[in-house]
Amino acid sequence: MIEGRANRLGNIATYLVAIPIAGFFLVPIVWLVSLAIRTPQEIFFGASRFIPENPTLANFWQVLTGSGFLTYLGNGLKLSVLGAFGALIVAAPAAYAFSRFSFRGRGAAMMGILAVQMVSGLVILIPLYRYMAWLGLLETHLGVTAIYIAIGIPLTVWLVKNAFDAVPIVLDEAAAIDGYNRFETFWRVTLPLAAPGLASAFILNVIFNWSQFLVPFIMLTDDDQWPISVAIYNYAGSTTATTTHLLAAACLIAVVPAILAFMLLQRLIVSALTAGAVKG
Amino acid sequence: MAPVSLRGLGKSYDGQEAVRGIDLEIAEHEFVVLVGPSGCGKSTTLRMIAGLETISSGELRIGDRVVNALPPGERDVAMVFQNYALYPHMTVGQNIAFGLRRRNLSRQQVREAVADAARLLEIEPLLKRRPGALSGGQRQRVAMGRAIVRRPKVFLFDEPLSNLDARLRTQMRTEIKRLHQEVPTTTIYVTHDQVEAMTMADRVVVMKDGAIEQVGPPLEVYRNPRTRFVAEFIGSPAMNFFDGRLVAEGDGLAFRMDAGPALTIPPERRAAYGPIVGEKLTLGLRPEALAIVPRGETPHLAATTRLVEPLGVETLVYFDAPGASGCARLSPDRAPRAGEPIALGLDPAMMHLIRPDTGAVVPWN
Ligand SMILES: Nc1ncnc2c1ncn2[C@@H]1O[C@H](COP(=O)(O)OP(=O)(O)O)[C@@H](O)[C@H]1O
Ligand SMILES: [Mg+2]
Repeated sequence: MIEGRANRLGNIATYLVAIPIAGFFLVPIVWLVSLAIRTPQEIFFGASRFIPENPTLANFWQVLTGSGFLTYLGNGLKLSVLGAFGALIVAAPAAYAFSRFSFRGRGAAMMGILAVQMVSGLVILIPLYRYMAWLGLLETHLGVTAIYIAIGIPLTVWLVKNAFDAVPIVLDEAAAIDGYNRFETFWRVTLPLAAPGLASAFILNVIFNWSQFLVPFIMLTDDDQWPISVAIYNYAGSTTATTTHLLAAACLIAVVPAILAFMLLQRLIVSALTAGAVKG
Repeated sequence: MAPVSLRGLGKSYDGQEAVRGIDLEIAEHEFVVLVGPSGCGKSTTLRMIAGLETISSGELRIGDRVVNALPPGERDVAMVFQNYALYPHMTVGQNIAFGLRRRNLSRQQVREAVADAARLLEIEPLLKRRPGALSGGQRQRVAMGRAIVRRPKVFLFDEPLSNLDARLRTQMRTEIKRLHQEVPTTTIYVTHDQVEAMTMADRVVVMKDGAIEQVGPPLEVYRNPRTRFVAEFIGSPAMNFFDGRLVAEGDGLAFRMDAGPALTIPPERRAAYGPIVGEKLTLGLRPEALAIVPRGETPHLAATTRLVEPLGVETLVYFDAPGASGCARLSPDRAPRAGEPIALGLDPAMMHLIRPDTGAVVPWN
């Protein structure tokens, strides 16, 4: 009885908090949808005509077929995926060492990595730019990818370490007795069992990279190389209210891949949780 | 199959000795059980033999090779873990075959070996399944299949049955013994359960605080424990203890309990016990050394029945006596009811005398 009431109160409290948060994020998106399906004339009604009288998908079509949009999407995808992949490859050995070896300063090193994560990209932007210039990596996807990798490493190390931690050490021991060396054990036992965790880390990196703006904005000036985020910004700056509907459609299209990735991620996390451990 | 020899084996963690001075010669084909309470160093010892723990001191031989520095895979041992440690992403068949892949066998040979092991353990229908879809008992069998298929020199078991329910545990116990008879591989088996140790072992090794307390065949250890610890740990219900003093009585000896009767020492023990006359000692008597006697007859221990446990073939009677409480193993038709006063006769032929300070049993034979 009492427990039931406490439960209900808990639910109400949860909704009281969750609904404003959801609203906060949903309102701009709904507004974006409203703008994206309007004809140019209806744009001028602003918020007074929220649901347009003549809704149209033509804006999306125009954006997708228009000037270089697919190139921007492709650039964004390429940079995001390469950056995520690179971060995973660089982070995995570190994560494995943190998970499986005990060495002096392990805890401090883990915290140190986390501390790096907390440094804002803005703070290091100018030195980073000069450094990249010195390396000759300005105006290249390689440079952007390298920065994405560097930014992604701290979180990835933590996530992948957790994924390795979840694989019981007794399986390493069983494999050692079965005659496998450490690398073979890693390759045939630890890695496959940690795969859902690694995939989650990968997707999370893709999402973060996809939403990166500052790094590609300062690194790339040639519009052939822009990812979608930078392209939209420049598009918005160079146009007038007469193209607001197109801008809205472009924004929506740019958001869709991130949402799809998030849904995939959620699936993965659920399947990782239900995959079943050693005992059970 | 090979003998295993432990000479002065020890293990320290950060200066803390977890295991020390283990001397043990295990013969080819022998089934040895390490038994002792939790934390006494059984697993550590076993893991040193497996190569999963480095050896801090001493020498370990498998066959005629010193293997101290060899990695686990080169020691040719197989291990069954408490929680089975099956690879969850492989089928049962792949789990069993995994250890064979290292051995330059043809596919055909691997398949045959896996099939043989599966037949021996009666898990053929499970070969295509994943460990997640198996019951505890089935996982246990698969874990054993994985060990057996490699035909190793030594089998190592670390509490393999402790995750099973009581019925399955008894069943697997006989199963493991049967397997050992069919494939008589040198086996080192760790358990905290003295019944498992007694029923399975050719020789039991009782451990305490990181050292060996006593080694011997189960019945030998049961009948002639060398310390109070072994006397108490081996055998269920545990041995009863009564404090008292050894005294001269006529031209013989007697043990006079502090609160209870005096027990005449059998003549064949007089010589051995002679030097300790007058000392304070503890008398140890197993539950089967106690029997109900008619009141007024011979010296007896007056006690009150606290709890009666009929087990069918025998009845356990837990009693309270002045200064001590204990348990007697009685025939069902002689058993009293709870709360009833009883007179217990004590069989001096089954007595053990223990020095209270060292815990050593005074030897007499
Ligand atoms: N990795 C370790 N680090 C420190 N102490 C350990 C470690 N492993 C075991 N010990 C200690 O060694 C002793 C023996 O442990 P163990 O061999 O697991 O006992 P058992 O298997 O008999 O229960 C225990 O006191 C335990 O705390
Ligand atoms: Mg143990």
